[in-house]
Amino acid sequence: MDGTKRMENKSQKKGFFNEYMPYIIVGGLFALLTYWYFWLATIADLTYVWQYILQMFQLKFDGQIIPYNELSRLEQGYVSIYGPQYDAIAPEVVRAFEERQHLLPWVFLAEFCIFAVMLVMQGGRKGPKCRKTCEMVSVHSLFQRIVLLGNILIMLYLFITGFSITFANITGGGALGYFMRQTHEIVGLFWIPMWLLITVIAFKDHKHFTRPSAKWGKFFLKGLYTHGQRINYLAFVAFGFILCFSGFWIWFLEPNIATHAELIQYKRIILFGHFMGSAVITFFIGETIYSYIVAIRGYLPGLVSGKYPKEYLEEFHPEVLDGV
Amino acid sequence: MSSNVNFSRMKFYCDENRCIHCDGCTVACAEAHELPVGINRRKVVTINEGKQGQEFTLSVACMHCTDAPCEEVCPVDCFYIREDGIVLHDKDKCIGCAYCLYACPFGAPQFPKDGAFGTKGVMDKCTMCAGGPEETNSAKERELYGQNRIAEGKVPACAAMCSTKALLVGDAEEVSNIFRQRVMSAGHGVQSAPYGWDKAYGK
Amino acid sequence: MQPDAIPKHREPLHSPRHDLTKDYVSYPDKKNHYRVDTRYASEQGKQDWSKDFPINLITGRLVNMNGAGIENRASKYLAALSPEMFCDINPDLAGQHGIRDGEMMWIHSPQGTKIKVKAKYSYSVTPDRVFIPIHFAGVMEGEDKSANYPEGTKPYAIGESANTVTNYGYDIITQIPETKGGLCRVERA
Repeated sequence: MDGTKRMENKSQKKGFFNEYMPYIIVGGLFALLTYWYFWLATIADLTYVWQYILQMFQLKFDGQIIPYNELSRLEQGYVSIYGPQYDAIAPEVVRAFEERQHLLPWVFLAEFCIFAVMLVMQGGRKGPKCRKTCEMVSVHSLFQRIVLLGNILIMLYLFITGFSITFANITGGGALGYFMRQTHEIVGLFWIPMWLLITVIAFKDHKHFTRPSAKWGKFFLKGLYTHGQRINYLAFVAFGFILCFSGFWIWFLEPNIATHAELIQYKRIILFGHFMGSAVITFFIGETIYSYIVAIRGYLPGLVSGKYPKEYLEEFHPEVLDGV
Repeated sequence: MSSNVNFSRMKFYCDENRCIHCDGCTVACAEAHELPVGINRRKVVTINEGKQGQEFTLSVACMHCTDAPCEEVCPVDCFYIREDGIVLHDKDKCIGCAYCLYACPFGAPQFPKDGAFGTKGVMDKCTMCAGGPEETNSAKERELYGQNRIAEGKVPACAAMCSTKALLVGDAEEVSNIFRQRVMSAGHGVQSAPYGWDKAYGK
Repeated sequence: MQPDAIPKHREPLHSPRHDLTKDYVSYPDKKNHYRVDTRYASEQGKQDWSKDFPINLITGRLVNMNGAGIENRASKYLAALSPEMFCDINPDLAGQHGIRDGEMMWIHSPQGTKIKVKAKYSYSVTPDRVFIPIHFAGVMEGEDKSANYPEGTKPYAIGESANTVTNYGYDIITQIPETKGGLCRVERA
């Protein structure tokens, strides 16, 4: 998942497949994962889920697919008091809470092994070559640095506290688990504007659509994306959106017995989404961390000072020096 | 009541033909356990209000299910189920994740809304007036979970207050007998079990 | 002689059936009825009240409240069950006036008074009438008067008083006001 081709250094003409191979690989794996999860692994009623999502576009969120009038008196009673079709989604959600918690450490181990293998295959980390006294070039403005570092810290905190459930599963809860859980919601709210900011400033592809403008251009991060980086960015945007959207509603729709029947099915499907989003984004974050820390892309001090050595930029991001 | 009654399984039963939506159960529970105003351990619901022949009312709280889903999903395992089937939980372990609410078919778990930034507090729910893991009838237990009437041999506050004896609680066999009697004397109706019993107890 | 020796039907003063007021006239006006000159037939025949005020106004009790509600509205659990004044209105009637469920509406009385209450859709009233509970006080014709309560005595739940819009009409012997039957006009707020 890394496109190390630099535009002007390598041969110009590449076949379509060679050029876009990362997208094809990632897209294919993603399709495979989706197929496995939705058709083989889930016990949720997918027909119901699909119809429910369609119904939401009509701005109806109670999950009552079959019209209320067509239900028998007994069924109407159930639905009005307990909410619709418990068996459609809730058992899957229950299973996610219980069984999959135990799978998670194995999943992380597998991911770690994949990245370790990739590292070995490319012969270890290659740091940027820089002479003793490097000429530093300013790349990130203060605003960008605050946003980037803030995002890293917040995402780190959310990642750790998000697994407060798994953590509490092992340790048995108590004050620390409670604190992790509650602060996850609060910090998650703060992540929503942060995610939005990163989505905007990291949209380096705007350079493909518009003329660079001095006024607005300085808000966007400098440089261009390689294919692998673009995939990471798109994954961040897409799954970050799912997490922000579902996380907001989980926080906002307070559990309340008075509105239970109307809202519970929506809450379940939202939690379903939050879980899925977090699982996928974790992989891509891992991939991003790998490519910035372990592979040769990253120059961590630059994130704090905003300045990168000229040699590093010459080798890996020459377009930044060209003012792109 | 014969002395052979084996209180092996406590269940709730609300007779929708008798419930008049007086909300006595709701208020009795809130008063008995001194609940904060936002927490409604028990609620009364009227379906099809005003429609002739279709309107009925039901009082709903935790059903204390067999194979309780709340107990299954709790990540910190703060639930414990008594021998007589009453499902209770430990508020000191609870981390407020609300998974029990997502898993509950009846919406029984409640959360106070007064945390900072609107975060949820620890879960609270109907205890069938059986308190919690603290020492029985201690001040701490009363403060966290409310009265422990079962330990004193008393009927839970809601059923004790019910003005029409629509809400009953007790051993499953006794309650089933009463249900059967009422259904048969009514002379009609196809209901084979009270509302929610198939989901809660697997009948 | 009052009341009628053999009870006979006398149509209410403000009746939704104005045609019946001709055939079933009320008592003649009574002077010095507990020192009040009380109108009966003259009020009934004054105009066709049902033309401007076509909706039957029903007042009644809520199960968790008692009387004027000053005790029960100061109890937090009882007040939580009915925290504000409302009006049960049939969805068809509400639709005719553009009143949505949960939105505020005005109820106007033939006396010229009005109250602003929240509309609650309910099929337990037919489209020719509305129901309002009697237990609330503290708001007058849309204005919150709760600042007038002495310090610390404001109850948890306040609302418009139903008696603001109940109609003119008094019992022939006891002068008890007719609060259960009357007319009104509803309007979207």
